[in-house]
Amino acid sequence: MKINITVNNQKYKVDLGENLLNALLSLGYDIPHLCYLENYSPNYACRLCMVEIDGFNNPIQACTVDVNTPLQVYTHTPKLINIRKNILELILSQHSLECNTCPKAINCSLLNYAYQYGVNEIIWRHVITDSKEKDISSPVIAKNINKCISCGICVKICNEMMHCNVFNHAFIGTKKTIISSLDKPINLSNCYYCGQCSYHCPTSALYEKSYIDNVEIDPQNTTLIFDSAAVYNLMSQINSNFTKNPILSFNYLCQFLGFKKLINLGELIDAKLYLDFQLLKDRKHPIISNLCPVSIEYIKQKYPELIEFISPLASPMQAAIRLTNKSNPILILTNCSAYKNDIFQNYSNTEHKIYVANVRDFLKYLLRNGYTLEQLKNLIPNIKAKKNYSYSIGGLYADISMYNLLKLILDETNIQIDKPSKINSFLTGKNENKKYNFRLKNKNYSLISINTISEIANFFDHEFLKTNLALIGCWSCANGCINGGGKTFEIFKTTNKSLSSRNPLLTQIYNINEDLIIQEKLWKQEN
Amino acid sequence: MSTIKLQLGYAITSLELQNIWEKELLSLLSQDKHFILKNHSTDLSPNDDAIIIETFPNTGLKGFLYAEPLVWIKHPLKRTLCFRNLEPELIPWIIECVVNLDITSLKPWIQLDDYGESWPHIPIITQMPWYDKIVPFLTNSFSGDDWIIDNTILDNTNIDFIVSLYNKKSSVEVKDLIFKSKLIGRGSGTLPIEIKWQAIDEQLAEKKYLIINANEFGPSSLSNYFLLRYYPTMILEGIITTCYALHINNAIIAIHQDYLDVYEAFSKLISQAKDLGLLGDDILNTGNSLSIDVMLTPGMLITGEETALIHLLESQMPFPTNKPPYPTSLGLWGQPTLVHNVETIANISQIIKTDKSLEIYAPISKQGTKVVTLCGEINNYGVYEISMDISIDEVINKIGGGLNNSNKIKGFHIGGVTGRFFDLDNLDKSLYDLEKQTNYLGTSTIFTFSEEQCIVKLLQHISEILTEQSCGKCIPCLYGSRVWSELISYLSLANNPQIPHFPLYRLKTILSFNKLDRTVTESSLCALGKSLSQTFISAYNFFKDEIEEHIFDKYCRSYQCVGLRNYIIDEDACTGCGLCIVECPVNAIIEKRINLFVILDGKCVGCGLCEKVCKFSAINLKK
Ligand code: SF4
Ligand code: SF4
Ligand code: SF4
Ligand code: SF4
Ligand code: SF4
Ligand code: SF4
Ligand code: FES
Repeated sequence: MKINITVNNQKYKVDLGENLLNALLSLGYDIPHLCYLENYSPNYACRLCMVEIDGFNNPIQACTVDVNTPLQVYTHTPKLINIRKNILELILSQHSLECNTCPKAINCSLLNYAYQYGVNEIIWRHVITDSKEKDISSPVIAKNINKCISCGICVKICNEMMHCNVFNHAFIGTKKTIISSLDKPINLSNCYYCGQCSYHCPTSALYEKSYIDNVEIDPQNTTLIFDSAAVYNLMSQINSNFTKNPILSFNYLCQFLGFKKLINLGELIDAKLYLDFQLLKDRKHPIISNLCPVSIEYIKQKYPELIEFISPLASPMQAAIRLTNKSNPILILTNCSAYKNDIFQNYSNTEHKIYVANVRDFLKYLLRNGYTLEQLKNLIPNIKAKKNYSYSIGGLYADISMYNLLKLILDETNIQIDKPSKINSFLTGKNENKKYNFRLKNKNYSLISINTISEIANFFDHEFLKTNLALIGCWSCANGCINGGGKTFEIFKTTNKSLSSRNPLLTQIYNINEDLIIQEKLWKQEN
Repeated sequence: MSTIKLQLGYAITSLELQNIWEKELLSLLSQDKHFILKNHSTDLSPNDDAIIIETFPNTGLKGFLYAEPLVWIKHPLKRTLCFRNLEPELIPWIIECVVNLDITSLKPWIQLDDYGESWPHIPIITQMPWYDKIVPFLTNSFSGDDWIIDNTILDNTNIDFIVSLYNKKSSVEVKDLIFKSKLIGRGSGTLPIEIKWQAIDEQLAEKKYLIINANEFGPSSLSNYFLLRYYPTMILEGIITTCYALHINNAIIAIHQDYLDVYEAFSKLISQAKDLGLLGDDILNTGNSLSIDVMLTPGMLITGEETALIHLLESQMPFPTNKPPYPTSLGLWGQPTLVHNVETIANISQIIKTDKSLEIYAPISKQGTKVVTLCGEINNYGVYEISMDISIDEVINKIGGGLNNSNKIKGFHIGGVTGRFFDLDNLDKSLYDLEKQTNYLGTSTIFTFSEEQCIVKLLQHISEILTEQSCGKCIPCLYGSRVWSELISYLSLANNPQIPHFPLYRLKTILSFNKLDRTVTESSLCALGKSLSQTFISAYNFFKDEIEEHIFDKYCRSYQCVGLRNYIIDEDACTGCGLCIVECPVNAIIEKRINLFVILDGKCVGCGLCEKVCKFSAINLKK
């Protein structure tokens, strides 16, 4: 059901019960917010998202309002602008302002809002706060509590999205802070290194460490392993209206940059699922495909009895590294910090020279080497897509790889499906369990894809026992892989960061209908 | 001499003191062969030539903290005598004197006007200026049988009341009585409790909770402790009454972790009630059930906010949440929850038990009584139950006995840390007037201060506590409270060598008060954040001149603010020894000419170290 709201005298229709802040953001209103997470209950800590609503005497936080009745909303009255500016000034008065060396400076919401609201003097700048040590114990996530603004996002996301409880609020008053499990360093906690907290932290209190800032890479003899989510993300950074085939365009871009050897992790994920399915045919019990490192770690920690069901094959990332030539350096482009951690744990003591970069680090690398975004953007439209170049976009959503697999099985076996619409159910773009059952040579199989930790927990608590021959793929991040999954990891913009499920580009990607070729050859080579 | 039976009772609010005192008393009494100690619950056997002493702990005058240890002695033929500030060593001697009916060498405080012969030349309680100012609604009266009731164990009156409540009264009757009384919640919110009661009564949930907020916070607030310590049975009755009226099956008493004695007392009381069948399942075969838990909670200001307390009981951070939903529909563990202050519960208990209307005690406001902690520079500090109608002037002068050292009163502060300052023009107002005036009363601690005190110093003290107590849920209050306490500290700081261009910065910060106030007040989540600046505003309203002197003239009339003090070197007395130069932490002393030192006003932070170190008394405070 839709409901009418009036925003600054413009009329709109929004869904009944929708969060007002979410609605305003997707209508294109730029409401500052530092503590809101789409799909999660509001923290209402920052108080920046205040709006005025007819019928209320005082301004009210948009993130705490659900639209159940028609509303008259004003988003940028002088009063609101003033309050917002003052709150920003308050925050900055006790913030360690070292923006020029700050790992988040280029996409720091706080900095951007301060600029936008014209905070050019901080009256209360001498309030004394003690400075505390950075926690750089973990290989991927670093914590600098001096920059923390107590927004509570990391606590919410780690507890509710990842079920991991690493971060907690602690103490009150002047001692108020965020601690990681009983104030131990992060590497001693049970953190999965999913990177969700560092991605969503509005400041650089939590950030992902970069490993290529001080490295120069010679593209000529470096193997580039990329995950499709990161590539899609990169392409939309370069051109925000990007509508081409991302993988294809990236291939051309790489040619231009000089990278000769490319490995698409997405294809390996598709291949891996295919091989896992071949294994399943000889088995009597389900197989959990080891795709997303966090879900596998979660299953290992919470359901130790299920370890034997995890696929014995190498993980796609391991397979990709095996495909490379040991003497050449490897650059891995991925936004998943769990992959980063995996590589760090497994290969830091081997003779492999591996650098892992996320999209932002990679862009930094490009800019540092004299390329401009404009130049790269102009390059892409000139590329004519070759007709029969095939690609895979697996790795973006578990669903997509599963969809690819299902299509392949259907093609190979000529099974007739009763309801053709069902095959598309893998592509609903929602965080829910998706399942497809079919019969092959007198056996019943199912393909199951699960998104988010809570769905994984739900599945293994209640449904797993009822499942027999099933191939199970789990992905832990909500709305697709972190910073990928259609989320534009915006480097120069901060708004709409959390609006992934509405991203038109994501929807568009689902509609791409090209032939699927699995690079089985590669896989067989190494087995 | 034949057997004589004496009664001896005492009340000491400080538990530590009570334990030592009691022990010493008992050992002294048992050393003397004359005395036979009788616990008042055991039967006596006739014994010749002995003094039988029945002891009554926790009885007599309570809450007169300044007069404690308070002891009373009753000779069977004479009126009861009360002694104040009594050491246990004196008691055997006092007993001898009382038995011999010769007390000329003793200095009793007062005698009661109970039965028996009057003692000559000893003031009678009714003559005391406070006698008719302290009203006994929640507390025991000063006469009759009330005098020796120990309210820490369930006696027959308590049991009868509970039994008749279950058997004779319907829950609707109880509700009607409470609604009719127009009782207002005694916590910091000033809503009629009818609203909460109706809200929770409408809920259909199976499980409902009643939480008693006994987690009072405040450096000097003892009102709740007073009720919990001396009147636990009344609280228990109140809980049972409320739960019975509203069909609540679970009650939790959240007790401040420092009140371990109260925790133990309630645990005992609850198990006694269980043994008597007054708690548990199917109470007295009426089909009602009720279980009461006691929990220790860290004392925090923020737990005065009910949603924060609920979170604390759920072992989460004590963060308040947005209302609605109100706890009465979505509270502890997601169930409808009613949160009441200790005093509210005590009122409910007494309204039902005594059938008295609140109007008797406060004909004007019709709001009954309030237990207040009277503190500050006052002679008779203590915890007293007063009428909501009585003027503050009477409280301070009649009950409180005026200020220490006959100092002149400058003003008073009501409501604990989140409270308000008032000047002398408000002295003739009652608690109820002030509550209406500010819409807020907090814990009803009345703090008095004299002309000697500096208002800015008091403000500073409060702002430091508030900053430590901001829960940190919402960013404007978390950061705003720190800025606020910084701002207040600048009022009394003329120089700060750590900050460049300090005088200008100081003025800018102080004058940004309006901006800070607007931001924090408008954007904070709970009453704590919203009231941050109210203390300052109330102080500024009533003590404008003094505060502006601090700001603009950098002058503190009571010379309390170290940072505004100026020292001056007496040129004649200075021998040029140069000791002070070494001592000054901010290098404010320079050598003007050979052997003559001067202090630069623009640098001196008023620490006074130079004054202490000067052997020739050449350095003095500039007045
Ligand atoms: S987090 Fe933002 S505001 Fe803070 S130092 Fe970094 S860039 Fe500056
Ligand atoms: S990386 Fe993931 S698991 Fe680790 S603390 Fe952050 S959100 Fe929690
Ligand atoms: S660490 Fe980051 S996400 Fe967590 S509370 Fe601090 S600012 Fe917010
Ligand atoms: S869902 Fe994707 S980004 Fe998230 S942890 Fe798994 S593999 Fe990494
Ligand atoms: S106003 Fe202050 S005390 Fe109240 S919730 Fe916000 S931070 Fe906590
Ligand atoms: S009081 Fe004396 S020692 Fe202290 S700062 Fe002033 S001049 Fe220096
Ligand atoms: S986004 Fe609404 S209060 Fe922070």
